[in-house]
Amino acid sequence: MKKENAIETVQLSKSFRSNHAVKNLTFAVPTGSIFALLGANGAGKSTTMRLLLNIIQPTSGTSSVLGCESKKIDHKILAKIGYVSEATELPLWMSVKQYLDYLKPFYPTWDDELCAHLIERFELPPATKLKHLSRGMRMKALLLSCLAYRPSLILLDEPFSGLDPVAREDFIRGTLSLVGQEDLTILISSHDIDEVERLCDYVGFINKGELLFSETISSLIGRFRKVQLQVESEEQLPEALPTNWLQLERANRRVVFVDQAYKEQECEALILETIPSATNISTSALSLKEIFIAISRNSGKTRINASTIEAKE
Amino acid sequence: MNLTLHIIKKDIVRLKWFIALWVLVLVVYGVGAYLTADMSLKHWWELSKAVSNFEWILIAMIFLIPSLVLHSEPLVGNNSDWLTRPIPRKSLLFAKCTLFVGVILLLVVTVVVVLAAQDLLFANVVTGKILYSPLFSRALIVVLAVSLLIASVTSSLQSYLISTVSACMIYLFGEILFAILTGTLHVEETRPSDLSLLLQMVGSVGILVCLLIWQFLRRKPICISICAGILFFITPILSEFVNRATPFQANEVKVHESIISESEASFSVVSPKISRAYENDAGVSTRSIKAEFRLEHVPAAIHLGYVRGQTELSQEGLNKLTTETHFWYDLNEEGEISANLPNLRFLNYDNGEDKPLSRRDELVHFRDANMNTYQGKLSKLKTSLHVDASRPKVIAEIPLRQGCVWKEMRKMIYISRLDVEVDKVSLRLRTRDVLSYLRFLVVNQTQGQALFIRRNSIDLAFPRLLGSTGLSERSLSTSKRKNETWHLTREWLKDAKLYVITYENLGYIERSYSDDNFVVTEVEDEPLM
Repeated sequence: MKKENAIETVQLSKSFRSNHAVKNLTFAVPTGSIFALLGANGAGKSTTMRLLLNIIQPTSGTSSVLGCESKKIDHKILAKIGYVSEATELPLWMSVKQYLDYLKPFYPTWDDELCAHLIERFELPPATKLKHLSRGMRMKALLLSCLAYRPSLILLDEPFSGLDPVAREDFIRGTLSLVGQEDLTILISSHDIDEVERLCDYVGFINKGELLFSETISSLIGRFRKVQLQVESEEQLPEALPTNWLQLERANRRVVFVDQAYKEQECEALILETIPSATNISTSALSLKEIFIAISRNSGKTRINASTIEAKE
Repeated sequence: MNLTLHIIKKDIVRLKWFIALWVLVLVVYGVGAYLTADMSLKHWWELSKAVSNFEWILIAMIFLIPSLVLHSEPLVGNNSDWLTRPIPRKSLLFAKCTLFVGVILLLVVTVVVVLAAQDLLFANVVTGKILYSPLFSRALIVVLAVSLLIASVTSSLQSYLISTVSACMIYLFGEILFAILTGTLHVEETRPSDLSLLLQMVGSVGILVCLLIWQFLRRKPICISICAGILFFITPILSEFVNRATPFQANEVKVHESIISESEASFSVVSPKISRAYENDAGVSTRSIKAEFRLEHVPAAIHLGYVRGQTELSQEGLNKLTTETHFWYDLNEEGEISANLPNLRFLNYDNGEDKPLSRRDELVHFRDANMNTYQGKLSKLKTSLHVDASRPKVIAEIPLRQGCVWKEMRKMIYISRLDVEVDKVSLRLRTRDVLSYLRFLVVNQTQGQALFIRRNSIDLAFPRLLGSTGLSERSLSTSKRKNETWHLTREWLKDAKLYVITYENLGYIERSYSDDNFVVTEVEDEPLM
């Protein structure tokens, strides 16, 4: 039996006056997957999450979470969703225990044992007021409050922002502790690529409100390659280069670029066709972070998508 | 219901210190009022004043209640934690409302205790305490309602406070503007000039602008708030300064002839002066001439009677202007009256220049109610008065207690304030009707003694607001006759009553405004009751 997508958006748009925060966003997050929504600051990641949870209303388009249209989300659906955002205003006057005790009655699936386990793992002081906790500890308290009821969907909006490495590790471990749970879906927005790479199956890249691509991480890493070659010292590179070559740089005879539509059989032939004098051609895989940087730097100049890429020096 | 109680419990924990303070204030207020019930006059007076200061705290607390209750978990905003929590909206809203009502209920209970301490009936609670004073009324009617409304749509304490203050400023600004535009600003006591009113308006707008800048730009909030604070304090001071310096206050219009017909009493005019000045919609300035008279031979009847007045401007230089309006003036025991002569529409001065009225013997132009234009000199003012004091009738006997209400038909007199000094009782009355033709006496029938009204003025700074309660307000002070030597005691006051007196043949004047005419008509034999 085919599983439903945990999250779906169709032509989702949100404008704040003349600022188009999200433009025609269409993507789906399969149930049970961990999906990373990547993008630079102000790309529209947080707005997308708020739209999904009906915190703000879309200008146009639709979205649904856990099979329920976002506009119709009620407390029954919210009881299955965890939302962790750096922008969330916690009731700072409460202690950790007061906060958890206050939330518990609202969640029928609240797991006291898991809650106690997470408190211990996160080393959270129950009697300490939230306002006296560090930023990292507050984020952990918030995460804990979203994990203790074993949600079906967790939305993590920039969860690593401002956290030190230890706190990040705790955060990721806490999140991963629930990953084994059946049908748990996680949507995480971040520009912290290294951490995301460890967690995610799927990745979507959003830039200036537009989704440039959405695919599995293995597919993404598989089609991006860093290509190095050598040319004659006086030779001019042709002006019309393939559109899937990004970040082309030249230092004397050495030329480096990122091929975002790498195919082992066709790559070398395409290079020689474009630059006949090319020699010592070598390729190497890119990390998700390198791919992110390549796309981010290029996206300011031209529009990018998985099938059509225009590159310029 | 369980979730509602759960939320209420959380909010009570959140606001425990505030609620404790609230209860403390109410207890002090209630106990203080209760203790004053059997005290000696001196201590009673002092303690009453101290207790009355708690009104300010009560109002401040009322101002903060909706904010603290609602904003302990903001109902609006995009970042609130509860937005993504499965908290049923109905439970949340019901919990907030329940807690809010509960906190306010404490105030109601205290008010009942305070009233009970003054031997007032429970029925007086609604009509009495709500109308306890203009300030209290405003707090309950305006501040509370506006606060609740704003608190429900603001997402933070800061935005709530700024929005509420701004709303109040806009309201006051609107009140003044409305009163000026409609010519209904009653400012006999303060006599503000046009300029001082304008200054108040500018000050109000300035404060508002500062707050808006603070709200929207968020730059240098301290400097901006200091500016707003300076404006807040300096505006009334400047306004008062301008008010005092205005030439209308020191007008020297002389009345050369004065006759009292139908009475043997004679009188002289002490200090006629321009008391009000404003422009109507048509841009025509109107001056209300206020004259103070002193009767030299005061018949006994006058103490309880009225003087019927007729004003003429018909001397040299003034072709013809006789006002056809009759006014009923109050007299006090000293034979002093303070009367507003008919409003004259002032068109212009010589050469069309707008010179102050204080310049004597200048040729001025007037227009009467029939749009006839006259010219003349203000120095030639003739006023004739006659006394009509026939058949006085007591229409109300009100126990001399703060909060006591007399109601009959559509008329109502409410003692909103009762201050007792060593030899004087100061009353502040709120009335539902025009009571310019009523006299007030404080009488102790047992002792056969009475306090006469010494001063009588109308305090109506914001008629629309008070109008919403259907009431106007009147301040009275009483004093003893000079030849009486008895002492004012609490016991004396307990037996005393406020007598409201009118006259069977007394008509009252009905004023109506048309486009740009001030029409005065007299309705004869219109019963007051």
